[in-house]
Amino acid sequence: MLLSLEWLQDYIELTAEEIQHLPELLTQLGHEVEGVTRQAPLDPNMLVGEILEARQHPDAEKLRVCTVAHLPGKEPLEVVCGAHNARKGIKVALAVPGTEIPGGIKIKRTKLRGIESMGMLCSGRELGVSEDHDGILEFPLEWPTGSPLNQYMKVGDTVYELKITPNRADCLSYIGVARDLAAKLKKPLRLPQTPSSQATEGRVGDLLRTPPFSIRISDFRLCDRFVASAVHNIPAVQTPFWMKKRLEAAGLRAIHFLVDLTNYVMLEYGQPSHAYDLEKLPAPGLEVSTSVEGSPFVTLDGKSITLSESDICIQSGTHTVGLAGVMGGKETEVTASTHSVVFEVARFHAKMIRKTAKRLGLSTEAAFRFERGVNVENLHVVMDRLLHLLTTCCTEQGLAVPRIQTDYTDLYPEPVPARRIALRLQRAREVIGLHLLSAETCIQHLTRLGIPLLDKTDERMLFSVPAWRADIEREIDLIEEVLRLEGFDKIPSFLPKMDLRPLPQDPFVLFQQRTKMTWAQLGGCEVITFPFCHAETLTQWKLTPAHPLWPSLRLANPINELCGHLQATQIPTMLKSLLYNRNHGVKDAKLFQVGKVYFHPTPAAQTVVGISENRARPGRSFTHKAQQESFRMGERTVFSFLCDRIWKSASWESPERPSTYFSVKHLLEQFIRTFTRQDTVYHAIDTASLPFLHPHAAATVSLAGESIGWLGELHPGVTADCELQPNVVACEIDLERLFELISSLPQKRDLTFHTFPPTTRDMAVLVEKATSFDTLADTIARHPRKKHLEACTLFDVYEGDRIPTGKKSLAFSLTFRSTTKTLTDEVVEKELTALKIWLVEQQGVEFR
Amino acid sequence: MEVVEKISHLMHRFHSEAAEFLSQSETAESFRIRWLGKKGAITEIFEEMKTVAKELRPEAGKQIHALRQKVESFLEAQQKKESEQWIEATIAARHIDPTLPVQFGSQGALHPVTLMRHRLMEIFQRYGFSIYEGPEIESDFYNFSALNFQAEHPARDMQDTFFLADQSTPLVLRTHTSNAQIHAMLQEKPPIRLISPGKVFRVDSDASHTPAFHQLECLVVDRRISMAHLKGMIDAFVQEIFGSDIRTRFRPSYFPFVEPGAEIDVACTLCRGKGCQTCSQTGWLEIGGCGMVHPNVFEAVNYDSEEYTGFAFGFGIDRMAMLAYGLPDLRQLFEGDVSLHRQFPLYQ
Repeated sequence: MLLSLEWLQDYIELTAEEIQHLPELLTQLGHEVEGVTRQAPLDPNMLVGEILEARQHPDAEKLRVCTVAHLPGKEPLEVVCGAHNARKGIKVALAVPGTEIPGGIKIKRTKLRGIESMGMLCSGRELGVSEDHDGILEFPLEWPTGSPLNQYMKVGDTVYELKITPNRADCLSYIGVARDLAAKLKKPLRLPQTPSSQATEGRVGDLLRTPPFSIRISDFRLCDRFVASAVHNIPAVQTPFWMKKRLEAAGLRAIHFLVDLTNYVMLEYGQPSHAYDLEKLPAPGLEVSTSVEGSPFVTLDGKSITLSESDICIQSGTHTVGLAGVMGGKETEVTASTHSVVFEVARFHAKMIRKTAKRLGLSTEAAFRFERGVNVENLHVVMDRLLHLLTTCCTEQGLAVPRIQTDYTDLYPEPVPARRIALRLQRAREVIGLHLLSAETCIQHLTRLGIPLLDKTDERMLFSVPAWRADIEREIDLIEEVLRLEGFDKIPSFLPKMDLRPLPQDPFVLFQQRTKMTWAQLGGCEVITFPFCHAETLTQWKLTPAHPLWPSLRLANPINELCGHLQATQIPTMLKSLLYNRNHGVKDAKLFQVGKVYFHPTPAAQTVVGISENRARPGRSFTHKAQQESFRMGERTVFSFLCDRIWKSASWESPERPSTYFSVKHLLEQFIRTFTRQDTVYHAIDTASLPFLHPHAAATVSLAGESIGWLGELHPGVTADCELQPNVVACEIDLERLFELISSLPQKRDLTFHTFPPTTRDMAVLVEKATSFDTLADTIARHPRKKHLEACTLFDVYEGDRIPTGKKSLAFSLTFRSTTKTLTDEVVEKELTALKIWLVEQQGVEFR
Repeated sequence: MEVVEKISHLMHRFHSEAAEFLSQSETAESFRIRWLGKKGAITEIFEEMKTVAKELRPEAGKQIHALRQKVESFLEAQQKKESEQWIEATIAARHIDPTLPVQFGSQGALHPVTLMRHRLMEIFQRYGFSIYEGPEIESDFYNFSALNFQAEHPARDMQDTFFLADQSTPLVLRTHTSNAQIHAMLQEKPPIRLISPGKVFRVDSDASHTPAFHQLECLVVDRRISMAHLKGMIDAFVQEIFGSDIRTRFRPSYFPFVEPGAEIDVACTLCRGKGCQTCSQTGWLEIGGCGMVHPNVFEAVNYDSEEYTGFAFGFGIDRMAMLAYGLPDLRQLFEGDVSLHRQFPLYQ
């Protein structure tokens, strides 16, 4: 909310020092000052001028040449002016040459289309009093010509931009803010003095007011109080200059007196009101009801909308004349020719107003206040104020006072009772940590806020909460009010003394931390990408909607279409980072990320190919239950790795090395072996399961017989589509599953201590190209007469001219060792021979 | 020939061979074999000792021993010399430029947000806090209603919320880590000391906002927890991160799940409170929100709101990282800029 200092001072007297500290004071009250605009004071040379004559400029259609009277006894000045309202007889702001206007511009004589202008007539914007640049300012005719303008016009107002929190609806008004300030500064609050009119109580159900006008409310849940008043014979009142200025300072445009009037009172009291042109009302009455689904309505600003049955509307006859609490209708809009109006001051159902305003995208000042809650006890006061200001303005302008129906309608069948809330001093002391807080302090602070003490015992004080403080619902709210006036800076600072009992810890948190640290030490660079993706682009990844990595969760309100889904794999978003780095000169990026992937919460949900069941993590963990819930919600923590085509760039030590499946497998093995000595197993993929990977250079990864993820070079088709070169390698591991497996694997207890030397033998095996290393290693491991074979290390793979086509040669180094003796050559040879025979039998291998 | 003569003959032979050895390129090893090896001259003469008359044995033995010692000490000297020569030659053969660079192409790094997150976790763990990570996809209950955000209340507009489409019951991407409070309190009984770091989401994307960012939530519940404790805890961790001269202040504010609620300001970490461009001349930087847990929240998780009180606070880890490490642009953090991340050592 924009708060003008000049206006604020109507309600509270402030010293120069208090004004200087106003932003801090407001902030301490919880109304954060987000900005301060100070208007420059007026140059004392700026005068009140009077246009004696205004004639058309001979060479410019839009310019007028005005003869302007100024200082008594001096010749009038010729001033060229472009304003449409520059005309004979009005009083204006005249800047003679040498005068400085706000913004630091000095006015000089200038020739405009051949005619010399001896100064300038100023608009509101040029004087820095408003944003108005539509014509020059016009002043009351009684202001003496030639007198310095700063005697009549207070320029130099300061406007504070306040952030009013949603609970403080009462502070969306000058009086509300002034009340808080007055309480803080221990000063009186000056409310507008308004003679009160005679309100007649309406009766539920029918509601007949003075003929010929009636008010009816179909359901008091929609609107619990409605005050209306008809005013006839309204003369052509102009919005007074001070009112215009204040509205503009508050960020509202002056439109038409009757509208400006309701806006002014809204800013003053925080209560929106509306004026209907009485003569345009289709029937002599108003009715509050819900709309008929689908009925049309044209708003004040000319928008055609369709109403729904959850909207509260104001009907007159069969027509909808207002969207209650949001906006009036075009049909009954007040205009310059309006003679009679009906003023509406009401309270509507906050949540319904909010729904309507949201659905229709109509965020009006009125809706903003209604949805936060207005003071139902105050509606008649607001009506009095409206009528009083209306009469005052007419009188000030020498116009006939309009005829106000002496009694107005006030439909308020069930007055809301004041809340009574008890406050215990001991509780307040304990919650704040202020052990010297006294009952008197509490009572004084609350009383100043308009929360009077009703009753006091040793244990508690009982307060009555006024209707404008709907946010105060229970004791804790009173404690906050006391603290707010006492000052948050009074809160002492010390640490709690607590039980030393260890609290539950989630081991997976530590596991993630270790994972990140390990990969960073292995040379990976951690990235964090947004988990949104665009399903369409995944077709480039050869994925289809049936695939488990296709995003299954869609956002209802994404930032944009490219972020419409929640990712089911992190790799595509990480690819963007890879390209970013490549474009910024990093050609060997090795990116990793520990993050969430999301999937539709069904029992068969899969995150990483090969995993189809969900299990909670083991152990007594803090998160056990939440974990199950996160399965319900469908999210899973994964580790993802993506590297660019260069693994190691050329250096003086070694030539450039491209990234391959094996470069990443190497790191993955190192990572997993940080946590377990259990071997990981790799299975070649079938093309359909991971279509974006190179079918001959990719694998799924398993640990202890369970799949934990995948690894592979990207499919050349994918890299081509994504404008990458080949040799981009990706890997994604279900980190939760990995953690689960690692935690559940039995700890190895049968340690071996070697006291005897090993013996090694080499063995080169010729096999079919399609035979995998694992097949051979398995066969070797299964050798029934294996007794001393300790390790079997592959040290060479050869495919080429020196061996038959279709074959490859695998060279192993075999280590034999006994735990009880030094092995003799004879024993070793015997076992090796037996192994060779076994291999021939089992796999039909040959030896080189 | 008498053994004794043989010995003296050998002695002569040794002298001449030793002299010859020095001028020729024979190795110490072949010399040793010829003299001390299994069939070497000295070994043979020892064999002959068996045939020597008893009375002559001591004298012959003495001489053999002398000869043997001579041979051995000669060999030892030669071997030492040879080994020195070998070392010298080896050293001469290798000469590197120690200033040649090693390759840093694969310098690993953690994300600055992770560095800050780990640092915060360490600090709070020292105070005995548990760490708990809540889910990111959340129901209305955990993200809003249990936190005292009433349905259709304007307080919900304070956080622009992502909703999941096609859901029978509304699901949101959590707008704050405060959902962790509810999960934790529904699982555990007081006392509670926990922090919950994690990713949160808001429909917001401009120079200083990203649709996903990171927060850290802190919750303490016990008997007689006060706002003074809240202030004490915030002072403690802020000073650990930014230095013991950094002051904090509370500004009254409104978050539905706390009452009284406040915004947390820290003295500008750049100008230390004097006023600069970063803090818009105010000397203060807003880092987060805090307050006493609202009794309505305790009631939503079936805690006795009379018996227990608690405090909660939350702040942006990203913002904390930006302030502590001098990062100017939030969006830059999410580009995956390797050359930026590599500037931070793993252990801060």
